[in-house]
Amino acid sequence: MKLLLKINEIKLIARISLRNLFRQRRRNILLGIAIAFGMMILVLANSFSNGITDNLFNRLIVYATGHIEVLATEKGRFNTSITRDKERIENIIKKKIKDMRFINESIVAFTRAIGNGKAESVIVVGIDLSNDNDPGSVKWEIVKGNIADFTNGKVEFPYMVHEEKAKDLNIKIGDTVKVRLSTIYGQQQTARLTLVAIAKSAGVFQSMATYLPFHKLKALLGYKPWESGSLQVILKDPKTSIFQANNLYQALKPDLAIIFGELRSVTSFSPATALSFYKERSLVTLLTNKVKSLQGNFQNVTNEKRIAVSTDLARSLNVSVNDKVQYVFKNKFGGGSTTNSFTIKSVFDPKGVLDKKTVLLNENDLYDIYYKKALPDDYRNYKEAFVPSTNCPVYASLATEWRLLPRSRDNASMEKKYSDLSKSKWKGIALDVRTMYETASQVVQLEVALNIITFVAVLILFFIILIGVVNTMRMSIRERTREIGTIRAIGMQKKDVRNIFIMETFFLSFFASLAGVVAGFLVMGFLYLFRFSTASAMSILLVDRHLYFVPTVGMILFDIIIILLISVVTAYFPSRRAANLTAAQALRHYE
Amino acid sequence: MNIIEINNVKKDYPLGQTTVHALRGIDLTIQEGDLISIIGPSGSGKTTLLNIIGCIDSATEGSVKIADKEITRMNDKDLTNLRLYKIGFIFQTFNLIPVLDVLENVEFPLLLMKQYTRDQIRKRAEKLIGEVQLKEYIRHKPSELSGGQRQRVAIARALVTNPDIVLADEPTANLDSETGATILELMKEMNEIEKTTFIFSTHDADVLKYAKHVVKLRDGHVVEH
Ligand SMILES: Nc1ncnc2c1ncn2[C@@H]1O[C@H](COP(=O)(O)OP(=O)(O)OP(=O)(O)O)[C@@H](O)[C@H]1O
Ligand SMILES: [Mg+2]
Repeated sequence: MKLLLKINEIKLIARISLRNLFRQRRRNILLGIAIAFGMMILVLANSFSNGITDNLFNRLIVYATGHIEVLATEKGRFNTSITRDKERIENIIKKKIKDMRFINESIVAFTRAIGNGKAESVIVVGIDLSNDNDPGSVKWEIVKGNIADFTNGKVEFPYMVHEEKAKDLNIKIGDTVKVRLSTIYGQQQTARLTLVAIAKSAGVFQSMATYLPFHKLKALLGYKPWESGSLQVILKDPKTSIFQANNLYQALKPDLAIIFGELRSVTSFSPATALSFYKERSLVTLLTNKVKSLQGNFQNVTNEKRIAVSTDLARSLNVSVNDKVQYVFKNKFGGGSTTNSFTIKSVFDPKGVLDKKTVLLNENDLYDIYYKKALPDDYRNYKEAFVPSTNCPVYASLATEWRLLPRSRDNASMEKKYSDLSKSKWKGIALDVRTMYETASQVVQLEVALNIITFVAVLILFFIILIGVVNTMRMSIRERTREIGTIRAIGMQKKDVRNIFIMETFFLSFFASLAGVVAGFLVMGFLYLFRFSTASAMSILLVDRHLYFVPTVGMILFDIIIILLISVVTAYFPSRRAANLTAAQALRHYE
Repeated sequence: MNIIEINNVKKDYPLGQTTVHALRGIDLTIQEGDLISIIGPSGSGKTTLLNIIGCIDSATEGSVKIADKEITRMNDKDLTNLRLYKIGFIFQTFNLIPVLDVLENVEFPLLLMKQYTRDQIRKRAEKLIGEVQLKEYIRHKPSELSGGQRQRVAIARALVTNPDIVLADEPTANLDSETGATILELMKEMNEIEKTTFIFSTHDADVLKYAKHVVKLRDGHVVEH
């Protein structure tokens, strides 16, 4: 009952507010239009920024770099990425990354394709339609040809391109396209691909890409099954990329490169742990200071195919300096074993520093035998394997599985890091952990820029509302001072008078923001009527040559609430001042 | 019974460097059911006195009792409620709420009271509108009424809460003399029907026809009672 009576009063206040809103029509319409316009901009900016984010994070970047990428390179060649031990890196990723959607093994080649009398630069991407975790296993919109031919093995190298590329290369279904590919070892080879399908493209970036079945491309490029290109991590929440990449970075710190195998001479053999040393002068000096060379000269081991063996091994194999030995180990992948020949250039005393049955290689030889044919079986599987502890006096001299490059803050520092490394003499394996914020920094910056635009729009809107509301209220309070006096005299409480004015602003902003939302949608619909040229720089903003908007209910509600909040807070103070007028003063008001 | 008791009320208005002494010590008692006219030259303090009785302005000094309650130390909320329940106002410039129609204007104070249901409010408002003879104008906006009609709506609004006192500051000043006469006639009639105390100020010397008593002010003093 009490509530009902209270509601009657609220209805009265609302009625007075609403009617006053419509009484001073012109003034309120002007303010309303300003608010609606601001709201429209806000909705457009938000939806557009959302669209970009969706486009970038969920389409483009997923394809191009992943949210986090682990890139392994050799000899400073950053355009070829070879992850030698895919399994090991993948396990570390799976253990460290939270809320991962999937890991994408990126097999990509940049090359020129020759069609019918036309040549074009293309990106050949390996896609695995049968793998749900492959970004290429989407529902392709095929314009011509048959996607089934891509997988059914009827043609040796089934090729798929987007409409634009088909036109540029002047090719039809069944035509042959020649591409020159360079393998990860730098050999050139020509492949003849057969066009089996032409797909509709969703954006400029996509239309650059052409497709081969994943395993075919991988083999063409010379990857062994346990190897891969860079490993790209797709997260559920791309915003956590940097944080997660830093975690992953910690976990990717390398162990020592240790091989456990057998050292053989013509007459005899013995199990032996192979370690290797960095060739940097200071590190070699550290080693020779701690490990005495009893025969030969340790410096000579830095040359190709040279080895240093411990006194125990030399004795038991009955070999000495300049003798030839073989080092044999079991392969980690593909079965079998690998044999390498070396010439002994030093016999050293391992006492107190290294194990009795140790051989030492220079790092170049190590990486050659460690990574090239097949990886050595994990030394952790062998009890006898010697694993130097971190406080081993020569630990710093011993080569690790790879070198982990420091994390880069942005694209520029990443580029510099790579160019420094490719100029340096060191030619080992380098691992880099990078996120889209570095690799696709221009693209990500675009998103940041859009958010700034949105923010500025909110600020401008804020001021429009602030000035508009304050001004409108001041006029309307001045006009209605006598009315305020009257209702206060009759017996309306201060706070109710205040609420009449606040509610007026509330209703105005509410209707205006609704109108703004409607206008925003109309503008989006209108813009969708246009198709834009894909030649312009802004074309990465396009999806299927349309501007791409993704409005969400949550976002719109948030915008409306923001606007209501701003206007109500702004209206509060003048309203309170109006309500605090004494009735006698207000009634005497004259103008 | 005394509905209003005023003792030594003074009212000063600061005006720049000086002070205007609008009331210089008023003593006045008013009986329940009376119909009083306050007369006096312009600037003699009529509006000031009515405002103080109506609890919309405070006295600088002295005591004011309405229905045996000392109001000079009440807070704003209680004063507002006192006005709502005990006092009705009629203004020289009518002061209807322009966005509300006749019925809504009359219902307005009843809705603020939060005591009656919609039906009770509607019945009571319609009864009062009938008594001021505006039945056909019930859905008219104030802008669609003549001055006399507006003032009759104001009378209905002032009486609808069944107040103890109705205060009217020059209710006829904005009306021609004929219409003014009918308004005063109506107030007299209402005073008889509803037994409500009426206090109105006027410049009109002819008021003795309507008032039961006259209070004459000059320079902030009561000069005749
Ligand atoms: N807010 C104010 N500030 C300063 N002086 C005021 C104020 N209100 C009233 N006065 C002064 O107080 C005195 C009494 O004013 P009041 O309005 O009560 O006179 P009144 O008798 O109602 O006059 P009228 O018949 O012209 O309406 C006048 O001298 C007036 O100038
Ligand atoms: Mg006056």
